[in-house]
Amino acid sequence: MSYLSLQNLRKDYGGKIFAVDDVSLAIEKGEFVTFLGPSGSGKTTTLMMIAGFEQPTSGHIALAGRAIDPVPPHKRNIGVVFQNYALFPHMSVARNVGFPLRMRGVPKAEIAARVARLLAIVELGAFADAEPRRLSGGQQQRVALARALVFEPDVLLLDEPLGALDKNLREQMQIEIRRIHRELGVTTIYVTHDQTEAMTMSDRIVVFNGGKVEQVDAPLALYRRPNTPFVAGFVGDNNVLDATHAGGGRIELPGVGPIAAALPSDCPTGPLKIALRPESIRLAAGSDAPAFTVQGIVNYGDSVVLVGALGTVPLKIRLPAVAASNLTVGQILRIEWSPDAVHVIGTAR
Amino acid sequence: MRPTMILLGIAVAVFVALPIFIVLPMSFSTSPSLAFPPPGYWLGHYAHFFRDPTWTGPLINSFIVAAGTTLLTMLLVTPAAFTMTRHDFRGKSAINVLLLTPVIVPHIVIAVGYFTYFAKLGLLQTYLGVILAHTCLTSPLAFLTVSAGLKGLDRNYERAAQSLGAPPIVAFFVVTLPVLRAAFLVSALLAFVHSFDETTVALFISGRDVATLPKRMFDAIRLQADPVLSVAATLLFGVVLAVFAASFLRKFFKAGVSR
Repeated sequence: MSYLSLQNLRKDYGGKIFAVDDVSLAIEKGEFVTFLGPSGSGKTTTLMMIAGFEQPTSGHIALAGRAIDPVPPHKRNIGVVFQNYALFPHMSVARNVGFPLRMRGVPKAEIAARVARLLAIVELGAFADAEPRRLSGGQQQRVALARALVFEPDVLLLDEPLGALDKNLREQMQIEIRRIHRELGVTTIYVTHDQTEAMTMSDRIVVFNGGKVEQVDAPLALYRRPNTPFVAGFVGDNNVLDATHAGGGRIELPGVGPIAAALPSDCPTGPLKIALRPESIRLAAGSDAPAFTVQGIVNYGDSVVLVGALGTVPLKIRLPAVAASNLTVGQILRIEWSPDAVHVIGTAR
Repeated sequence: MRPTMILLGIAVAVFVALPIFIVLPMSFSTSPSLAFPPPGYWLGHYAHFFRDPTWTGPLINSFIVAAGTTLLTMLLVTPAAFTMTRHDFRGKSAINVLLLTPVIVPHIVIAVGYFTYFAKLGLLQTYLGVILAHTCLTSPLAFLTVSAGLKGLDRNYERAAQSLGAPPIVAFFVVTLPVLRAAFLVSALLAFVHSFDETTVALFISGRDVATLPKRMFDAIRLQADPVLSVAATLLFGVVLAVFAASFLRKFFKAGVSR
C-alpha cells in the first residue's frame, strides 16, 4: 500500500467535461512527485482535491492507509504553498510561520523554537519580524514554504510555487526546494507547467493532459521513452512523426523512404508514431544521407534550431552554435542520427 | 473652463456646508429663540440640553439603536455577502435584487409598513423594533460594501489558513476579517451613521419611550422654536463627524507608523 493513493478520481463542474477524469496514482513516502501539464489539464484540480479544497465527484483519496475523503482541509495535516504565496499581510513573518502551530495549541516556547528552526532552514532568520509585503518575491515564497513545513505535514503540496518569479530566482528556488526536501524528507507534490522545472526537481513526473494522466515515470525515462505523442511533444523539444513499420525492423517515412532506426523486437507492423529529438540529429558528411531543407533558423546563443523539412516531413534540428555558423535559409543539408535515437511511441524500449 | 469649475465647486461646498455654519453658532447663542445671527455667545443651551432628560434620553437611545443596528447589520450582511460572492445557485439574481429593495422603496413606505406590522407584534416603541427597522435600511449598503471587499479577496488566504489547521470559522476571524478590516469597518460605520441620523422610520415607530435624537428634534420644532434644537443638531453632526474622523485618523496613524 502506497503512502498517498488516488483511486479513480473524477471531478466535473456540472457539465459533461471532466476537469479530472479517472486519475489513479500511488505516491510513496518521502517521494518528490511533479504534476506536469498545460493549464486546464487537471493538475491543479487534482492537487486541490488532495488538499481538500475541492470535493471529488467520485473516487477516493487515502493517506497512510486511511481514507481522507470526509476529512476537512484543516484536519488533513497537509501543507500547501500557493503560487501567490498567500502570506497573511497582517502578521509578521514569524507569526505567519507560527500560525499552524498556534492553531494546534503548541506551547509558546516550542513555537518560538520551531519557527526559528524553520526560518533558519529557509535562510530568513533575520527577517522574523518583517512584514511579508516588505520581502521580495523569492523571500515571500520561502516564508510560505517554512509556514507549510513547520507543523511537519504528512504531505507538502506546491501549486506552481515559482510561477511568479523571474528565471534566475526560479532556478535558485528549485535548488532550494530540493535541498529542503532532502533535509526534511517530506512527501512532496509539485505542480508546474514548466517541463524543465519538472525534469530537474522530481523523483517522478506525472504528465497530465485533458484531465487524464498520460504517463508516470522518472524524468529521464519520461524523456527517453514517452508513451504517448502528447508526452513526446510536451516533455522536451521533439519531432513526432508518422511512420510505417514495414516489418523486419524497417521504418519508412512517407515521401522519404526508409530511415535509420533500431526497433524493439516487440514493435508491431503497420502505421506508428516515432519520436526523434532535435538534438540527436547531426550534420552528415556523406552525400547519400537524407536531405534536409532549411526553412528557418532560430538562434538560442548556445545552440541553433533549424526548422525545415526532410522531404515533405516537417522537422526540427538542434545544432551546437559552432556547427551552425554558416547556415542560410534555403540551404540543403545532409543529416543523420544514431538508429537508437528513434523512439517508437508506446513501446517499452 | 477651470476657474468656472473651481467657482462651481466652491458654490456647491458652501451650499452644502451652510446649514452647519448657521446651526453651529446658533447653538452657542444667547438668544432665547432660534435667531441668526446670534446676539451673543454662551453655553447656556448646552447646559440646558444635558440637564434635560427629555433630551439626554433620546441621545442615549440613538446610541443604543445605532449600536444595535450596526451589530445586527454586520451579523446578517457578512454571511449573506459570503454566500452571494462565493456560491452559484438558482434564484441568486432574484435574491440579489431582494437584498437591495430597501434602497429602492421610499423610506416613508417602509415606515408605514413597519408601523402597522410592528403594532401587531407589539414592537412599536421598543429598541428591538427600531433596531430591526433600521437594520433593514442599513443592510443594502453594508452588504454591497462587504461584498465588494470579498470579491477582491484572494481565496487562497482562507485556503492557506485552513490547510494550516484553522477551522473555517477560525480562519474567518483570524485571517479574513483582519485582511478585510477596511471593508468591514466602512460597512459598520455607514450602518452606524445611517441609523444614528435616520428620521423617517424613527418618527413612526420609536414613539416616546425609545425616541431617537432626530425624532425628539422633530417633536421640538413642532411645538416651539427651542434653541436647544440647535444644540441637538450640532451634537448629531458632531457624532457623525467624529465617527468618520476616527476611521480616517486611524488609517492616517497606521500609515504613519508602518512607513
